[in-house]
Amino acid sequence: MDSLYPAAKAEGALTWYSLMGQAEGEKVIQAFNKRFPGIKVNVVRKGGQAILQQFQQEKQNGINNADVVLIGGMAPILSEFIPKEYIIKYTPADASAFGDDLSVPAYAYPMWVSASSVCYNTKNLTQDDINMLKTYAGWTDPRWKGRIAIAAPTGGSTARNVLILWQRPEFGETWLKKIADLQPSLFLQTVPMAERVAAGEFDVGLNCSDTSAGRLWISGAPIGSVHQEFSIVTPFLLMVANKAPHPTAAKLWMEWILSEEGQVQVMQAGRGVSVHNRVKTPPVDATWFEWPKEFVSGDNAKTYKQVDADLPKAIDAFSRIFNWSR
Amino acid sequence: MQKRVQLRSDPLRAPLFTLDKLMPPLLLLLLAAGVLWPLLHIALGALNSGSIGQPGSTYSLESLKWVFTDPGSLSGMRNTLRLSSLTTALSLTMGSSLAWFIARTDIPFRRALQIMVVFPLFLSPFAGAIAWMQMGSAKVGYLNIALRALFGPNAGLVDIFTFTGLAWVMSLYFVPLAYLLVVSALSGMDASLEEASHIAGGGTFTTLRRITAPIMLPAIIAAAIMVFVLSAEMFSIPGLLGGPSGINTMSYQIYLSVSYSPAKWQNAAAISLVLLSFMAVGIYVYQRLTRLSYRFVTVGGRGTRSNLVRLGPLRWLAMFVCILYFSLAVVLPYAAIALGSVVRYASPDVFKELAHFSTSRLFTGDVWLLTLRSVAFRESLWRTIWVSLFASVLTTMLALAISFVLVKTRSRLRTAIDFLTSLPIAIPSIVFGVGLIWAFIRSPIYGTIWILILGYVVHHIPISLRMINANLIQLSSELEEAARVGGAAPWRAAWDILLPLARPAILSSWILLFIQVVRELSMSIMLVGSRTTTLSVLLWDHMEGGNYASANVISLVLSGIILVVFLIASKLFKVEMVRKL
Repeated sequence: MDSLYPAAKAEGALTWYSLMGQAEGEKVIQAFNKRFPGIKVNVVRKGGQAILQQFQQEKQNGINNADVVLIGGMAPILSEFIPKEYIIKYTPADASAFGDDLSVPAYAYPMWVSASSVCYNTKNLTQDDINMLKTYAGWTDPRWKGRIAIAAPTGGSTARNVLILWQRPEFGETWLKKIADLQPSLFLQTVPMAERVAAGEFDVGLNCSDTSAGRLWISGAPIGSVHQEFSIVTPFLLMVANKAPHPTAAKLWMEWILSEEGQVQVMQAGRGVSVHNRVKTPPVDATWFEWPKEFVSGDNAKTYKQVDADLPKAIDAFSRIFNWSR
Repeated sequence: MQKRVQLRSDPLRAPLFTLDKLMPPLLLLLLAAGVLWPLLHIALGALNSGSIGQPGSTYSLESLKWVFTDPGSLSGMRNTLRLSSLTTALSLTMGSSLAWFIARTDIPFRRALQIMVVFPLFLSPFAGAIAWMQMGSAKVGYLNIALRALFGPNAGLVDIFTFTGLAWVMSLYFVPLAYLLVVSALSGMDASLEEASHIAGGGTFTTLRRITAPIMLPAIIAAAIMVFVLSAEMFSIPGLLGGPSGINTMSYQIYLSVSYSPAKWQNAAAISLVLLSFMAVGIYVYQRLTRLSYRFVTVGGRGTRSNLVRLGPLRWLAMFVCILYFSLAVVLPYAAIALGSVVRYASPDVFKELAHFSTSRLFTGDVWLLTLRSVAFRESLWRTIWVSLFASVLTTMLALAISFVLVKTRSRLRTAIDFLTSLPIAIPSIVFGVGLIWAFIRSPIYGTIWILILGYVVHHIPISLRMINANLIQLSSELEEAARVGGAAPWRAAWDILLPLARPAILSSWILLFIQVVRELSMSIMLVGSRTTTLSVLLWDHMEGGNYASANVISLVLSGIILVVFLIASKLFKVEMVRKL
């Protein structure tokens, strides 16, 4: 890491295509600049899949603005970025601390992972209600009618959550239709949904994540989250762009983010789940937090082709069932 | 010996290339590049089978077929038409009423009320939407909390996440436009017919119903069309409030088409083409109706101005209605935003906590500190100010040059130039953003501040031109001709004579444009890159990301900038912003 610094500093800047929240991203950048001053980090920040599509579109048109890219899920990397040489091979020093299941070895490594959950307003739910939410079947209980919101499959993790549940025969479209009958309000991202749940506008937010609830809980909001019988895990992967305008700064950024020091900063900034094997802090220091019983991968090197094929179908099914026009 | 006096205007010795000869073709070229090139690309994009730069894409009618057959797209069109209709009805009702009160009655404090009614025009409608989201959500909106506290647990009336709620918020921000369009017709109206009605024994409201309203009808219909088309293209309010309610409009669908993977730029272009056609037809009909209404209201010649209608004690009610509108459009929303900027999280107990402010843990100044200190905010603020200054000055200078050509020259290119400068009125901002992306994605200006400036300048030329034209037309040519006879070149005559006389219009244009650019969102959101984020886009980002407290802070800063400029304009430069409109 330190050997890269002089050349990175000479480059003076890097451009990070990111979907990390504005405030969280700034904290991480500040921590980086404290360690490595003199390297300006310019952020192109867009939510959900928007940053993915911007990167794809620019590469298709021969535009090389991005130095480092952060997206959710592996499928676009394996099916498009690597074959079309949108990204380069780069293995950071701490690569072996991340499991191969949640990385694209030699190319992309998880800045954090998101584990699916349900968020709820702690003032408006009884313990019986919370227990009901601990199973996917419990999401369809009639008690939730008019009280819930759901995040649409626009993001890397929210889309994969919907995909996995749509694929499973015990859930599928029948289960989605039962949820739709409860008339949930739709949100394009989990954080605004969690905010409205914390405010009391809704009692429950489906297709949420621990980190979305956690950041509000830290500020004192009455919000909690629970996992179900299995939690769908989506890695948020960091990679160096091909023909990056500032390649050394990009590599330094990647080294630092994926180091133990960087991972602690990432979690403290946004309370993401780190899968670095030397970082053990839970994502949320809350009494209601429990680790998921079972993890199911949202996509990986074995399933990405199926993900690529099924994801548009799952999103179409969701759109149809929830009357959501994109 | 006779000496031949050499006149500068001697045609035998006149230079071939002078500024006044070069300017018209140069302006035409610039306008063609800035206006027609993006429009052409929207049309080509709509005829493309794939997204921008997608390998293997060909020309195809698929996207155009999609826009007219896909249920989601058709739903967007229906929502747009319904929402615009309701918004138009609400804003015309309120705007016309306010116009009649202020222009035709003995309402007290007329001048102050005039400013109050028009003031929301200068504010960011997106900030207003943020405020109403906090005030009007069914369970935890501030208004509903207050109503329940006063009238019991079943008393919550307001739900902003409905069609009516959405139209309500939109109409609040279109009332000033409706007011201005109607009030200008009311002010020009021949009053002798109303006087005749009074003489014949007709009361105030009978005269209003049987004389004033029918005469004003063409003007009101024209105003309705203008409000209808402008509300159809609006992005910020439907984008924020319509999404969670499932009410997607065409402008929001354009944004969604290109914001998520896989991006469908071809669909965005197809929707843009339909919206553009709709706007163009609407603007054309509006312009025809305006000419008709002008003849209509001045039938009978310019009579003497009547006495104002005496409302008696009802004038205080009329004043109250004006103040109520101002409260709903400005005071309450900004109070909500201010409150939202000092809470750690939104809470239904906010008023209870406010009552125990000193011991409450809900309130904090941290959000202000964090937001104002953030690098993204400071960079966006600085960038917004200098880009708005630069774009507004550039637009004003360009409009001045165009106006000079249109009003003061006999160039054969005037018709073409006039047409090209009118065209941007019909182009929705978000559509123009789509066109600029398609047209310039492979150019060096893509992703830079220059594509933003190009968009702002081209899109705002019609506003500036209208103001400067109105001024230049009134200036007699005698003074310039005297300067020319004295030996001054045309540009010198313009500089020394015309410019000082046009100063009020130039200043008004510059200041109005500055305000428009500062709060511009729809086009900016399509065009910004990593180093070009403006304050309004940062605000959108925060809202989309659920950082409502920071968004409230930024809304206040944005509105503060606009207010400061408004005050500088009226106090320092003595520009009458309201009358100039």
